[in-house]
This record gives sequence, C-alpha cells and structure tokens, in this order.
Amino acid sequence: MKVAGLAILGLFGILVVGLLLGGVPVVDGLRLLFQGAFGDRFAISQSLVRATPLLLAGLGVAVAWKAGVFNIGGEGQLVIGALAGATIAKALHGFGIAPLATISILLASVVGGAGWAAVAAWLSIKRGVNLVISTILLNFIGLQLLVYGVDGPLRRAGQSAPMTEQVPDAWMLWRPSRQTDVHFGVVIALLLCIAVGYFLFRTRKGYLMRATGANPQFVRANRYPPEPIQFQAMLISGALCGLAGGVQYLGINGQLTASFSQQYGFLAIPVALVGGLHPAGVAASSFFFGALFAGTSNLSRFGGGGSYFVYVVQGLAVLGLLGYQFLRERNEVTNQ
Amino acid sequence: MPGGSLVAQELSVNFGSLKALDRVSLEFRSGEVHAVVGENGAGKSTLMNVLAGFLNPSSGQILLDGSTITGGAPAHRARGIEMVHQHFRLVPAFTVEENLRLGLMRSQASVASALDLATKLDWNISPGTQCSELGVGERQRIEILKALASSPQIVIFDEPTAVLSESEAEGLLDSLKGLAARGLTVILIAHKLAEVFAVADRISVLKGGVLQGTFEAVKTSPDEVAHLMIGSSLKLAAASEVETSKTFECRNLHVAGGCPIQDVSFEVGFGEVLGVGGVDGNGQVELAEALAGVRPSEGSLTPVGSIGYVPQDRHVDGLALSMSIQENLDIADCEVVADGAILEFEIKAQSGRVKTGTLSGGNQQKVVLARELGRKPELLVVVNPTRGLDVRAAAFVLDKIRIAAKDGAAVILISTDREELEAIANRTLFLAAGRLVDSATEALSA
Repeated sequence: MKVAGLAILGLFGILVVGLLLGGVPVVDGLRLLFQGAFGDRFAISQSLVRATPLLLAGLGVAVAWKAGVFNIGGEGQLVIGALAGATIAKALHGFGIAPLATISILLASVVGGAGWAAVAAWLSIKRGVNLVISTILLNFIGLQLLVYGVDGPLRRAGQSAPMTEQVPDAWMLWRPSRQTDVHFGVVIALLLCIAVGYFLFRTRKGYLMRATGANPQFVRANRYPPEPIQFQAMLISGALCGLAGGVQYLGINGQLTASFSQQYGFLAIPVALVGGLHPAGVAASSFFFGALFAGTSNLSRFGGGGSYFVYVVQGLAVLGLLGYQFLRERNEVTNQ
Repeated sequence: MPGGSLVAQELSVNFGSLKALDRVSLEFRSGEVHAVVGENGAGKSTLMNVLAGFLNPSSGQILLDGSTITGGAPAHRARGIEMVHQHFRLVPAFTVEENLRLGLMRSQASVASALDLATKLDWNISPGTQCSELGVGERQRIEILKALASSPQIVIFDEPTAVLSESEAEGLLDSLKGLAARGLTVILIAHKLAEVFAVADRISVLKGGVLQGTFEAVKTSPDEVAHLMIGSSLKLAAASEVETSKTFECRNLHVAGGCPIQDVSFEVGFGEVLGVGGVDGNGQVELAEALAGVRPSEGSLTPVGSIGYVPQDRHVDGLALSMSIQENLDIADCEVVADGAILEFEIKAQSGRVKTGTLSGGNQQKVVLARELGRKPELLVVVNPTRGLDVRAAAFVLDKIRIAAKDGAAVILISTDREELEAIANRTLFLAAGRLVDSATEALSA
C-alpha cells in the first residue's frame, strides 16, 4: 500500500511533466483535467465508468503476474469476452428474459476470456511456447476475430457500417440515474476486487499462486507442481479480462463495432503494475487512470493536450515505476 | 610448444579461519600428466585457481622455470598457463569459428592456428557449425582449443570428464596423453581414480588443504590413493545398531536426470539415520528428489504418510525468499505457527512477518527445518543440511535431525560433508555414478 501511495504521488509529478512536454500551461492544464475528472457529478461518473474495465482487467493481470505468469493478453481476452457475450446476445435475441439474458451474456464473456487465456496457457505448459509472446499474438488474433464477428456472423442487417445488433435496454446493466453513465458494473468490479483480495491472501489456492510467483522451484520441492497452479491463474486472469469486456458491452456500448476496444486490456498492465499487483492498489490506480481518461477528454475539448495524453502519462508512469524498482533493488543489494 | 616446470612453494590460502590450502609445495614437470586428487573441499579447486592466477595465495609463491609469477590471471596467461574450465564458456548460437574468435580476442593467437591445431590433434571440427548443435565432447574440444591456441606451456583441466560420456572421456584422456607427449605440462583435477590411473604419470593427493604426498602412478595403487584421500574410514558417532523392526525400503530405484540413478536398493529403519556420502554430482539431487516425491522414478518405495524434505539449496528451492517466514511455513499446510517456530528453532527474527530473504543462512535453514519437521515426517530426506552454516547453527540443525530420528522417522542424510555424516549417521552408503556402494574407497574406484 505504501508503494501504491508513493506511485500515485509520482504519477502526479508525471502529470506535470506530461503537461510541460505537451506545451500546456501547467496550472490551466491541471484545472481542466481536474474539472473533467471530478468537476461535477457527470465528470465523476465518467471517471468511475472509465475505471471499471481497467479495474476488472487490471485485477486479471495482477492475478496472473502474482503467480509468475506474465499475461500480456488482457486485450485479446477482453475482446473475446465481449464477442462471446455478443454471440449469446444474438442467440437469445427475441426471447431472452431480462435478468437471465444479462447473466448469460456476462457468463459467456467470462468463459470466452478464460478460454482465450487457456489457449496461451496450454501452449505454454504442453508445448513450451513463451507465454508473453503467445498472449501478445493472441491479442491481434482476438482483435481480428472481433472485426470478423461484427462484419460477419454478428453483423446487424440493413446497417451500412459493420456493427452488431443493439442489445435490448432491459438487458443492459442497471443504471441508478438517467443523467450519468454509472452502471452496475462499477459494483461488480468493486465486489470482485474484494473477492480477488480475499482469494489471494486468505485462501490456500491463492496462497499457492503467490508462492508459485515468488519461486516456482520452492513450490515444486513441496510437492505442488507449479504448472497446474499457473494454468488456474491464467484461467482466472482471462475470466476477469473477459468480464471486463462483457461489462463494458452491457454497461456502456450495448453493441460491438470494430473499434469497441479502447485498449483497456493493454492499459490494464500498467494499471496492475502501478497498483503493485495488489487488489487495493489496482483499485486505486485504475481509478486514477479512469479519472485521467475522463479529464483528458475535457482537456482535448478545450484545446491543447489531446487524447494521446493518457498514453503518454501511462508510458511515463511505467517507466518511472521500473526505474524506481531498479533503484530500490540496487539499494537492497548495496545494503547487504 | 615447449613445456615448463611449475613449482608451488609453501602455498597457503585462508578464507577467514578456514585453511583451504596449508603450506602446499608441489612441482609439475614438463611433459607429464600430473593429477591432483582429493574429496570435495580438499582444496583442489583452490589450488588450481591459485595456479591460474584467479586467486592470490595468503602466503607462498609460484615459480615458472625458476622465476616467480605475480600479477593475477593475465600475468599467468602471459607466462603460458591456461585453464580449461569445467563449465563451458561458449555462446550456443555462435559457430565454432565465432566462439574461437571471441575466446581469443584478448590473445595473440589466431583462429586459424586454433583450427590448425585441431587438425594436428586429429579432431574433426567444422568451423561453420553452430555450437548448440555440437555434442558435449565436441564443445569441450572447442574449450581446449581456446586454451591451446596461444601455445601455452601448462594447461590445467578442471574435472574435464565430469560432463562427458564414457567413450568421450576415453577420447579426452587420450588427447591429454598426446599433449603431454608434445612437451606440455598437463595438470588434471579429478576424483575418479580409474581415469586418473589410466592417464596420469604422477598423482598428488590433497586432503583438508594439506598435501598428502605425490606419487609415481606406476608405484602406487588406487587403493592406496583412495585411503590417502579419505584418511581413516568414517568414525560414526552413532554407529550403534538402531533397534527397529519396521523399515523404509527402496527397491530397484531408477531415476532419470543429469546423473541418472540406476537400480538402487536400500533400507532404513524407522528411527535410523542412513548417511549417503559420495562426491557431488553422482546422483545426489536425483536420489533426494525421487525419495521426496518431487521427481518421477521407477521402482518401489515403502509408502509413508508424510515426507519431510530439506533440499540442497535453500535459495533455489528451499525457500521463497520474497515471502515471510510464516508464508514459507504455510506451504506444508500443517499449521506451523511462525512465532512458535522462532522460539523452538531459535530463529533470529522479529516476527513471522520478516521476509526469509533478509535472514542469515543459518536462520533460513532453521525455517526450512521447522517446516519439514512440522510435517511430522515418517521419512525425512535431508541434503547437505549444514552447508554454509556456522558451527553453532550446524550443530543445532544436526541435533534437530537426530531428534526427528529418535521420534521414529526414517532419516536419509545425503551429504558430501564427512563431518555431517560422522555426527549423526548410524550407517553410511556412498553414491558413485548413480549407484550405491558400501564404502568411500569403493565409490572412488567405481
């Protein structure tokens, strides 16, 4: 937690540097960012809504990385999750009953994401394929499958642009207010954040995953083969990333297009890293980046900056974090 | 390639209070294969590192053809002393030629002369082959060429046959004889006496850092040398028979690995400590992991309710160093509480939340022991449990193992340290090339 607090502080510094680099007056820029993220109810809701898929996918990344599995495939798993959800939505079209349909679609996204992650995990364990590389490549395959899906079997008839059918309003996630975009997915994400924390730090399986990440040889010498443990971690990771896609689908978009993904699956990696791979830290960092998204759209509306600002800050944040870790490790070595 | 006469005069090397070498005086003559033999820790590697200039002696000096050498490894190389290391220093993705060029970058010798040499030695090496495609024996030849290319007078081989198959080893030994016949001084570190007697002209025996003598190979016997290496046979403090009716049996065990275990059978009484001695790399890890159930094996083992396993290296697989003491105990899933373990095992730590990576070696080993004994093991497999520990911690650890046996565990202590074996084993066997034999001398001659 101390690391997460420090990280947020560092991120603030990075924000200032980013604004300076972008040639935006720092005080004005920060004001615009702040207004866009927290200025009114709508701004806060935007921050929350943007943070939600980041939190879910960030948790997914954190679980895998904690177990020593460097899942870079959050984006692919998110997209496949959404695609699986949309497939079920099409299948249920016309006769699905509201809450059951919603649950079925979300479950499909969980299964889709987990299945996509399982492909990489299986290749890694059975065939020795480097998991970092396979998950990166499966991202591209997933994105192209999305393009195929919305332009092919899932395409809405009579529409000039390729996109899927709009999900009936009743199937969408519940919204407390018509004025904002806040949806029930925010609650789902927060509940899962607590659940993942409980799982990792209070259950035997979660413990074994952390131990495997700390030292797989140690786990093996204690008669727990690390491979199945890491496979399970990948399934959970993929399930959470897939659900991020499903929640985004039923919470915001209601339909899929080729540009459905906002790179939440990629951004989940820095979110998880900045959060110290700890669920509470991931919650904090996903909210920060969600707010940054919301704030940046305000910044770009008032000139300067531009929507690339988020990515610049993300990149600087990860570089800063890696530098910080490097220095800390070097200190530990010199202190010994 | 003219040979040189290398003389070590009263060499001593101290590591703290440990005397790794104690006033060793030795002469290596040109044109001879001179083997230096000894058990693990006898000082062979220390002596070689001093001769090659990697290590400065605490006292004494080295003379080459009458004049002293000082100034570390570069000076030694400049005077024509080369070393062929046991572990290869080759880039697998490079070709033979590229590896030679890399190896000879700081030397006067050319790649062409190295390849020439290969032809003279009748070694069929194609320069364009990628090293990853070569067998172990061929890779070693590249290493030897790197050493020979600069026309040294003296070449030191550090356990060169350890990684080779039998036929490759024979080929290498022939090459060593050939090099000596061309006038080089060949120094061979080894512990397989059969090989030593096949190739060496003279044999020097080290034990505990002290030179036991240098002998003409034809005037001595493997038995005599083995006795000098080992000294008296082990004096087991607990040699008494343990009264036990039930035994843990291991029958016809086969284990795959770097040094495969072949058809090993033995039994240990519940309540007994069986010591397994022998030189490192003769199947210790394979046997331990198979008995502990970590590595698959063929053969029959008496089923037991719980197994405790203290692996050889607490940093590699004994502990997760980034996790706390409590978390390192938790993997055994038998409710060992860190605070209790800290008291019982006298672990120096503030609390169970302290990361094991910050503990000293002795305290780390105590954490491993607390966990494994916490399983209430019926079978306890322990590998080199006191390696790297100070005297007090070592005695504590051995005591705990002895108590576990008293409480009815069948204990298998696999150790390369005779003091460990002497301290707590009731009986000992020895590992030699993946097989079990009855005595240390037998293990060396195998």
